[in-house]
Amino acid sequence: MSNPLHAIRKAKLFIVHHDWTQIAAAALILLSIYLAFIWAPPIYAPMTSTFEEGGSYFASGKEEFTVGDQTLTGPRNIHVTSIAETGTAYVVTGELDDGRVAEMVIQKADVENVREQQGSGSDISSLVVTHNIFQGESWRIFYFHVGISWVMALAFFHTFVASIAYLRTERERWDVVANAAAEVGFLMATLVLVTGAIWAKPAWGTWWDWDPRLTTSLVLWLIYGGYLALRGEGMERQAAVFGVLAFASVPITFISIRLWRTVHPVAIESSGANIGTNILIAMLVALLAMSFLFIHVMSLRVKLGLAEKKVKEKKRSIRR
Amino acid sequence: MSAAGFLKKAYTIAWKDLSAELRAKEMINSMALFSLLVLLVFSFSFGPIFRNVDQFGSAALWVAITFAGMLGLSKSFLNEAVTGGLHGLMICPVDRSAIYVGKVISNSLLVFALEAFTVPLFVIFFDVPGVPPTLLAVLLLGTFGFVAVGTALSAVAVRTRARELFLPVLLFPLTVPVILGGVSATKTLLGGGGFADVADWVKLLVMYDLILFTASIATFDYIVEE
Repeated sequence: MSNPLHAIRKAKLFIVHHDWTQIAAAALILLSIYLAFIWAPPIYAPMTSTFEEGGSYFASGKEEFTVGDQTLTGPRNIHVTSIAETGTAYVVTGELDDGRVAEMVIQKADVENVREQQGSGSDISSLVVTHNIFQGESWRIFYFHVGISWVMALAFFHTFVASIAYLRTERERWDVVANAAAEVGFLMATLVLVTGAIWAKPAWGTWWDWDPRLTTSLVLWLIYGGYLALRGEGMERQAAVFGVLAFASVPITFISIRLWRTVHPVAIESSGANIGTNILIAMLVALLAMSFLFIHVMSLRVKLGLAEKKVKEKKRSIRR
Repeated sequence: MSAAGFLKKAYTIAWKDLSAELRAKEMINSMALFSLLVLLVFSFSFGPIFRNVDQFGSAALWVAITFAGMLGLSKSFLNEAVTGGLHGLMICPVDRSAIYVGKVISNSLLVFALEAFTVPLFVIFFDVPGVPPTLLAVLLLGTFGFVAVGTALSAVAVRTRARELFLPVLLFPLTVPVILGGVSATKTLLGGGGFADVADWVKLLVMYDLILFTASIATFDYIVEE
């Protein structure tokens, strides 16, 4: 009964008979949801964008600020020059990108609220400069946004490699892999745009902005939409060529936030992470979870693709 | 095969295309007229209100060139496929990539000719104070990248059921870095910037041109193979 060999054999059978990537993906996604929503500390805006470096503040759509006698909202970049204190509020003065002087009033209660959740010791200027205090809890979508965009890049890389392999070997299997990866990648690209927009609305005050990172992501979506539209009977080789050429845009999307001035935040830079340790751990778990999800979905889609090919062949042989 | 031999073959193919075009003047006429129309529409809608050429001019110029260039590119392999010329090219004793390079040369020259027509019109309609030589270099780089990708994709699109109608769907997203770089660099140069201000964009253009040109040469064999 309590034979250890027996137990090991049982465990072996369990692993062989169950789709362990599915189990791992499900478990890790549950874990990352727990980490993202419960375990990770509830500070606001874990990341700074390049705009915020050097004492500038990226105003989201919710803050009202005045320029002359105009009251404006909407995503703006304010280079903070001074912060004054009144009875219940701070008055932040700075310059907009076009040189006009803007004034913004931040209620002390809001700042206290943030300070409480972030721990003591942070002064008002660092809060104003590095943290967009109005985006609320919406930043937590970033775990999934980053995870999904990582899977997107992984999927497009698979399309690239499988396309080269198909052109070299002419083996149908590689064509199936390239197609499966492009479909998964396209779905993930859609989700990247959707999750990004969900976060951008509270953080920037707008669903969409023609920012380099957003533009290049949309372009990726269009390119692989074109790839999927190109696929069809007898187009395997042409699709593979397009799969190779299309990949040139993927690295450009990923370096776009470092290449150009952008409002998109940078979580990991060459100089280190812009985020706290807890958040980094939760993010890595989310990345791992999404990777397992990718492996699982890919294996399902490849199996399905191979089965489709088999059915087509059978149909053809019956017709003859 | 020696490099000189390869280039000679590519040149022969380019010359075949160009002499056919010089006789029929089928593409260059419609391309020139189309780019003129685009410039007129832009000038009509923005010209009288906004005199600052760097804001709208660069977009108008690039839209005119890329849209008109697309017309020529979509015909590049369509004519060959319809007349059976592609089969003729395939049985030529040349490397397939020589066919591609030849087509890139002839298409580039065609679009350069188009630019020689469009840029003076652009200067007239948008009241451009002067065209710096750097702008011409940016135009050449952008055009080359656009044509290099477009020629390969034109051969892909001809294989689809929609034929040349499919080309924009494939080509525009893929050449966004080229168009983006071209438009931004043009904007800066027309606004009075020097080469140092656009060096990053030029680097991007050169990089992208090189990557896609070599990738297209490497994969062209597989596109046209039966």
